[in-house]
Amino acid sequence: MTGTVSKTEKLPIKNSSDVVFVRQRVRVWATDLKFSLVDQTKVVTAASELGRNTLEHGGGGELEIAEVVEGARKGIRLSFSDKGPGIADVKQALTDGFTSKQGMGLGLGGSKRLMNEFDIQTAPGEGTTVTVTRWK
Amino acid sequence: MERIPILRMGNFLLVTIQVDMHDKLALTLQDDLTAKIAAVGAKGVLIDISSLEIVDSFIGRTLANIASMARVLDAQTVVVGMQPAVAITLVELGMSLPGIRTALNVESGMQYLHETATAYGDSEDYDGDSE
Amino acid sequence: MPLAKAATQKEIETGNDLVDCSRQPMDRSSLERWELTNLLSAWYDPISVLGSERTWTTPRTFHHLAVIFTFQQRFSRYLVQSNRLKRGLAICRIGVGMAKVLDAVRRKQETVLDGWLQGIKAGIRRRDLIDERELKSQAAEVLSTLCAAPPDTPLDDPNIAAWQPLRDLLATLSASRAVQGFTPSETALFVLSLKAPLFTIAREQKGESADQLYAEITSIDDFIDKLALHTTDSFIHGRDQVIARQQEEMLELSTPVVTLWDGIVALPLIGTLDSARTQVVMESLLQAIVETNSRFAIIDITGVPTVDTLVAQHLLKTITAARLMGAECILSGIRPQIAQTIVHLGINLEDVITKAKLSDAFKLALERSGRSVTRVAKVNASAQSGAREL
Repeated sequence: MTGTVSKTEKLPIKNSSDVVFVRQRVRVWATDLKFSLVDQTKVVTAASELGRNTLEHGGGGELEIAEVVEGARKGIRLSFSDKGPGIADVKQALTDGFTSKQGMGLGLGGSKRLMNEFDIQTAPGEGTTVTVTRWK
Repeated sequence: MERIPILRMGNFLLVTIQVDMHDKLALTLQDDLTAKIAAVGAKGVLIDISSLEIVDSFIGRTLANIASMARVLDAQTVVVGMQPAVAITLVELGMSLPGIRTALNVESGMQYLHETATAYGDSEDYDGDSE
Repeated sequence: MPLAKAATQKEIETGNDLVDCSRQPMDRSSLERWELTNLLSAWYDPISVLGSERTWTTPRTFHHLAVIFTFQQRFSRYLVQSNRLKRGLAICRIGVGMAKVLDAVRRKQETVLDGWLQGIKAGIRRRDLIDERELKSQAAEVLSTLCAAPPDTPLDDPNIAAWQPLRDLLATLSASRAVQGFTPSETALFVLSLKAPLFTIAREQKGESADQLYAEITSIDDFIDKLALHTTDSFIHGRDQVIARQQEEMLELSTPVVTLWDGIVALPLIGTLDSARTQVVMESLLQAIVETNSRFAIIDITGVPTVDTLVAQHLLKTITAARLMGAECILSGIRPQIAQTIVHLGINLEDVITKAKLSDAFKLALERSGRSVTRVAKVNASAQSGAREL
């Protein structure tokens, strides 16, 4: 991932109210960075998806929000990490419609479509870290 | 625990979602609505999401579930007032919510319910408003 | 030569006690000691040492001197052949020389300014874009910023921090030139004309060898060239910003949403649909749907030259988003070639209502919203609209 980090904030994700708080904080960050309304919505929705994933599949974890700068452009980077069971087959997890639990299975692939950059580090038994970035 | 209020207008139920729902709240709404549809024998449900700034896959799922459950209970559901930014994001996310009827605002939503709620059988098709 | 003189002095001082020795044969060690002491002076100027009062009588001394001579000759040749020392010395000299040039510029600012302005006026073609006074004040400002740099700043690399104020000033100037309508070469010429007066200053420095002058001139030349390139870059950047802003405005203007009737809007698309434009188009259409409370939106693609999978995807996204909001989209203006392309590409338009002409789409929208168009009998010759208010 490119860009230099200038500011960060860490948020715990331990229950569903935390996910709501995550949405609110990401909204504030996106507004401060002067994203358009549609882009803000995309970023917050992706945060909501990934936050929920962290809670339900990862057993809880944390989010780090960062403002990144690369040359003349600015962006927001969200990094969700948990110490859960990890994802065995990432490719499968990214396909729409795949879900290991009850749901529509759009969280991971959907978030990838909503953001500009997507990175996932995971292995069975080693937890998961998903990092996404959206540039202005 | 907070609950989302469900209003009754004759044969129809009206729900306005104004808060940033966390998952438990959404599930509670699902339960409450299905219970109330059965209790009053409602023929139509109108869900107003014009204040919702974020609709993620979970909320979308919940809305789809509500519509399916209502249909089983012989009630028509219409979701009204989705914001443009939300619509664009949902499409990008890959959710097109087929099978959920939508309308621009409460007025047109109620109009739709009046027209279709009395129709029996398959009143589900998208462009089938017989007027 | 001062060194040789000192040597002879030393000779006299140290050699005084040996004066008497010279009358007698010296023993070897003291003679050698004496010779070593003078070796240094012999290094610099064997001839004057030779010409000193002290006579070098011993054959050994002669031998030493011969060795020194030969060695010195060979070493000088080595120095000339390898440029290393020469360059090193040259750089030291340049550093000193550059600081001197900068100093001279500071002292003779007016002269430099005049020379510069002359050069600019000789090259400038668009006299109408900037008047003389403004030109003079701009040049004066640049010159004073140049002179305001710390005294020891070398005049060779404009990218170091000390020259930042100068670079910023030039960037601002060239950006404004871009807006005014100058060409990039005219803006660069502004900076390049400074070379001539600086070269003149360098030449006026007294006591310089041709090599040093050459080195100074190439250094100034290089410095000014780099500044001129920086100016051109800033100019282009300024122009790019103007273009980007104009593009944005054009984008907004080219997606108007028109209201055809109560609750029916139309979006005539003209031109290519790329990702960026589709975003804007989508947002403005959906916004218009909300504002006009329209249940029907007609997207007319008569003006879209080609429809490929990407464009079709963009259109489908727009239509789905509108549907989520509660509005129905009708696609119209599909030309026969477009219809063929769509089928060939396997694009699925099953869920979308499509019409060949916008009028058909309009008629459909009217029907769907419970309206119809009827012909009314003409009364006398007065012009009456064919369709009554619905």
